[in-house]
Amino acid sequence: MTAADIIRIKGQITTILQAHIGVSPARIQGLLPLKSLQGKLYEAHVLATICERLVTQERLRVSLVGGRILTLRQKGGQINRAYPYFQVWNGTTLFGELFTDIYFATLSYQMRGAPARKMNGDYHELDIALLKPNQAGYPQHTEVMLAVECKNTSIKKSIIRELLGYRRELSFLQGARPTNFSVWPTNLTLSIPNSVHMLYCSDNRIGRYTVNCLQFGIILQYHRM
Amino acid sequence: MVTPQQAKEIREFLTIELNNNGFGDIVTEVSTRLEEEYEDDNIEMTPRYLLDFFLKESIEVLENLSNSNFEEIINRLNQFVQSENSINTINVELLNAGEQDYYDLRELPNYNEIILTFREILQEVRKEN
Repeated sequence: MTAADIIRIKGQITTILQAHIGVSPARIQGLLPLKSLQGKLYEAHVLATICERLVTQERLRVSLVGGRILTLRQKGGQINRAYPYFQVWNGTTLFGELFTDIYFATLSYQMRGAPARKMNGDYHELDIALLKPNQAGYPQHTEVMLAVECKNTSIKKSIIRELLGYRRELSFLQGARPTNFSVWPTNLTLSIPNSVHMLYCSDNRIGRYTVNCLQFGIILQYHRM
Repeated sequence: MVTPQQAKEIREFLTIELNNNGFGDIVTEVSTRLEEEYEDDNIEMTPRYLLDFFLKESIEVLENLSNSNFEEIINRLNQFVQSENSINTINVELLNAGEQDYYDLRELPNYNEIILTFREILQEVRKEN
């Protein structure tokens, strides 16, 4: 490669990056990093995939409650039915309700007597959660049927450690038990209560951890937009 | 042929320009991926390998962050979710000093032009090697 080639390549890099320097909308600067919003877009993509799987593989029916605009929250919180959410039906029976960005009350909170005043470790956020019907506030870990985390980021060991911590706060390790699902995501899980725990990640290196996580009832899914 | 010195020069320039133009997250993401690769003893981290890795992974990260198929998400939701009215967009509620403020995810940037440029450079570098 000649010196002129190097100069040309550098010029290409500078030109194309400078042309996109202003893409971060001024309105959101200082409020939420662009990367976090891009993470929300990934969450929406995963949510669409989950709805598709529940319909096509589980033969369930999914309906939206509360308007035409799907609203995700920057930060998790209690169940708030003022935000749109999904009902999941099995025939005429309400099978569950699907929420985004909600806190669930942890297993350790239950173990320490479920005091009225919650501390930080008493609840954690789930990006997407399919809960047993008619929950309110901070649903207990026993009410979670499907817990999904979304990582549109490069995989690293700390993410896997975080995931294992979530699993501990959702359930105990147990021999294989039937889930609430017949096919998708799985009909068996190594946990009690029998929640299914999934991580969707856009980095294919997630495959390096799949077998280990499965030992604790966690399903890792490589998924790109 | 790209010499080791040239490969190092291009990679360092790319890193600086990404950081200077608001794409520091891309550098961080690629560095994280490189750290994961260090676990594999069989990979020889030559300057040419590192340049190829940096370009290839930057392209993938940009693809992951790019808003290139928003309508596909909306269409899929409307295909599989029953609703009286179809979903027309997806908002994020922002925490803004107690006031309600929303950001429409449709407005997120598409990095396709950067991706195409980086692909061209990667092809040229590979051809030279």
